[in-house]
Amino acid sequence: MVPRVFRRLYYLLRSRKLESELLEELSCHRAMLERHRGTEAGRVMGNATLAREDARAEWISPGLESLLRDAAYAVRMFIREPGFALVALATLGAAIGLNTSLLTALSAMVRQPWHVKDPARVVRVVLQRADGYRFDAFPGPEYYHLAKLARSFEGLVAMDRATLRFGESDARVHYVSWNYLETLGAGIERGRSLVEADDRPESTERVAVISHRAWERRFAKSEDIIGKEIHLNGVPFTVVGVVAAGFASDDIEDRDVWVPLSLEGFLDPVRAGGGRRELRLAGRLAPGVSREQARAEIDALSARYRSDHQDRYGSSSKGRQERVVLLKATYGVGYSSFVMMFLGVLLVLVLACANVGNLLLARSIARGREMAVRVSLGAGRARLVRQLLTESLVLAGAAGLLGVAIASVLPSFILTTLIRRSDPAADLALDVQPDGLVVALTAALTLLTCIGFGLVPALRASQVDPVGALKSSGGEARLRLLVRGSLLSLQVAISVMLMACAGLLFRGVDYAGKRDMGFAFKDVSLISFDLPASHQAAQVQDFAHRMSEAVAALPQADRVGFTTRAPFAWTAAPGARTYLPGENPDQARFVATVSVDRGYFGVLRIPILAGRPFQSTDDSVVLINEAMAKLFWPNENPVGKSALVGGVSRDVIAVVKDVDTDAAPWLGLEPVRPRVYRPLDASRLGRPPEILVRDSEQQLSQAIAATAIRIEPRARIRVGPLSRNFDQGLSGSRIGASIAGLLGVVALIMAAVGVSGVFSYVVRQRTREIGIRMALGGQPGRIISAVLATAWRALGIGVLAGLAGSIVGSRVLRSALYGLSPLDPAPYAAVVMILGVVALAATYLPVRRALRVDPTIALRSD
Amino acid sequence: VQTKLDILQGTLDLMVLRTLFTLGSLHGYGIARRIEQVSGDHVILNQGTIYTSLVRLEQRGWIRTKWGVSENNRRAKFYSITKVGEKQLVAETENWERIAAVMGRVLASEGGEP
Repeated sequence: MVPRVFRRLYYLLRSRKLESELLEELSCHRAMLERHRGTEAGRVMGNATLAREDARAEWISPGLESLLRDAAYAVRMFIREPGFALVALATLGAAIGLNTSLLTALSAMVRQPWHVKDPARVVRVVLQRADGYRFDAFPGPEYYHLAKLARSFEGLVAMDRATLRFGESDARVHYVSWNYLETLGAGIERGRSLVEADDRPESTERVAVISHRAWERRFAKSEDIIGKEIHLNGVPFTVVGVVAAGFASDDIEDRDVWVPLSLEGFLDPVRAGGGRRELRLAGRLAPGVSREQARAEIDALSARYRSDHQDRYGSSSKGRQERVVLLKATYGVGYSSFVMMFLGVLLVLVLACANVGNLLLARSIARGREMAVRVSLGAGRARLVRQLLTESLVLAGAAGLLGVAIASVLPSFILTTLIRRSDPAADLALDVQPDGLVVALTAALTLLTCIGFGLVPALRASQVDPVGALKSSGGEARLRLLVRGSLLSLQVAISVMLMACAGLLFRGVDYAGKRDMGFAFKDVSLISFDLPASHQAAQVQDFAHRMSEAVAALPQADRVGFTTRAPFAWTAAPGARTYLPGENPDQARFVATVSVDRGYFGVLRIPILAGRPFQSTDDSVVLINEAMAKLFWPNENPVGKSALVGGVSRDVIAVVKDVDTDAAPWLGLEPVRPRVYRPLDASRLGRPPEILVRDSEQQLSQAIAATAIRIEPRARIRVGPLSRNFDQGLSGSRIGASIAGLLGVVALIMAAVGVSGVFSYVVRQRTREIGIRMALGGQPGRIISAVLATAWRALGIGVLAGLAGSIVGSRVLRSALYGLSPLDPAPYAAVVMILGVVALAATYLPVRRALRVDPTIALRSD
Repeated sequence: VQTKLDILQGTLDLMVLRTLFTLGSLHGYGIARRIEQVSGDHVILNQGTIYTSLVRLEQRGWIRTKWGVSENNRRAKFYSITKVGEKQLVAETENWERIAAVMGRVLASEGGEP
């Protein structure tokens, strides 16, 4: 087909010459014809102009030229009707822009390789469960084992993200294996990269490499940066290098500092000490090694390592359940939320199409005469449809361009806003711009959109009866009204659905926030401590001792509780294998464990159902929750019984109510797990306890914090409401609800425009009828209700259909509702009310105009 | 009363090709006159339409053109068939004969009013 296109272009470019040649041929032909046939020549020759036209149509595509002409005509027309053009363009542009923005974000996250050297050879090493769930969880020792033995990689690197205090503000830090920067090919702008010696457990030098941006922002690009001392969480590090701009991996937020993995212990003793640290792995494939070879090697190495160290993994004897998979090194994303958002934005697009389709229909009435004239002059229906579709295409094309423009700004703005919620200094490492694929998809979407909103109006508008149309502009077909009505219903239905979903999501977050977790955390403050990393266990325990003594001396000691794990930790709860005396240890069941002092239950108002609280002398006793009681002693009173918790015999002295201290909101529907409360023993602590204080003003908390500073001046202390931890867990859902809300508002505005448009149109259409009825003495109210009945009905059908649709669709949202019923009436009622108010407002002007119809003028119109 | 046949769409192209195949190089008028003569004046030909056909055939590469001088000493375009055009002519002729045979059978079938 390509040659034909070129040939046509050739003819298009040379058309003048070709035409003059054709003219010459024709006149020569005629001359000969006249010589032979005389006066008959004209008839035999036929219509020479037509012949020329036909030949021209052969040269250039008959469509192409008229297409350009139609397009130019459309542009002129839109310029003459700026109001219509702007509304249509804004509606379509916004809808396409939302779709394109989402495509852009998705494409960037899924397809964009890490900003490293030769990313094609870089893979991420992750584990995949049998059910397809993927996660990164390689403990440090396993990583070192794999890195030492794997032959398929030029380099296997490990990383772990953290946010640490850097001077006065926070810094985003990557703990990385020493070969990380080198393997991924980070450019070194100043100083040196990390070397193996930096990452040895015994290394005494604490070194760090900083990013170009951190160098620029924090050190004003000072030349003597190398060798400078910086403090991360109060621990001094020496800067040995600056990484050139443009390097990024693994996270959509940029990084400020890279620190050798072995130094993590200095900064975060808790994570490093417990051996629970889980690293993310990536590697650069060695030359000539296929991805599958590398995968098989790592899989085998990891499986062997894990079966040799079963104790460390705490897994069953069945061995490792996961397999290693290698993924393209992209920034990754959870697809499920994108699917939901796509549904939302596609609905907005359909809504926009219905909206603009309705506007076009209204316009086609005004253009009835134009169409009639065209038909009278011999235009075929197909030609009219083509012209009208061309106009739609011009509109859709402009909207598509607008959409791409929106998509080049909106996604990066939203993502930056999102990452800055947790860290105001963060920047986006990801390059979120529409790429070729996105532009191509947008073009396809634009075409679909064009057909979506343009086809029906074009078909309708081209159905003209020239005689009738030229006589008057009235006599509108009922069918057209029906189409408009259905489009209106569709718009209203979609906006009801989007708003109902948004409402449900907001209600869900709200519901989660108000849910009764079984304990009271509203007026509770949480005090937590970071001790200098150099502290030995004895110093930590001494600190804990002195703190509990100091608190016990306070008059308000009953409002303070100590624990090793405050509620809402959002991490997996530690636990112990537990069985009853006389049971086979193989039958041990896993129960969550937490160490608390006697004040804990009072502060959180957790009722003790049976038995007695801790005494200060208690040691080998435990409190258990109801779930634990049911699990081990069904139908028995557990108080006075004993159990082996983590191998140690413990006497149960009390049963407390089941409370959801560990319930992540997204797991809120799960039953409370069996739990053991051990008495907190300061002399066994590996890290400082956390303190819960019941005081709304935080005066008591501040006093306790001041005491802590007196006891250990180097301690870093955080005081804050416990509910903050809870809110953090809900922030993701808040974002989801906000995005749904945004779509809902867009949908509402579009629907309002649509409703208003249809009502004004009906009033305009039937002005004469209203006038007649008025002149005959009809009651204005009844006239209005008669005239607008169809429109009202369409509105009502739309609301009902939307409600039905959202009731069906809301099941999809169930997982995001935290146990709130998808049929919770409040959002639906609110949506109907909002829509009612908006619809009334949108119909106010048209109805008023109808009421003001002056019969004398109305009857004269047209 | 119309007694002459209207030209079926597409058949004009075939006639032009055949004419050029038989007579070699010809200008537009020559082609038109030849077709009229051969058809025994059974064909109504708006002679202008022949140029549409010529443009189309040239575009497809089935005929080629050359400027020359006509009998009345005017500059004229002379058309001749190309190798591709000859192949096309064979194919189209077969096609046409098949259609004609089918039409013949259909029209000759019994039981209907003519």
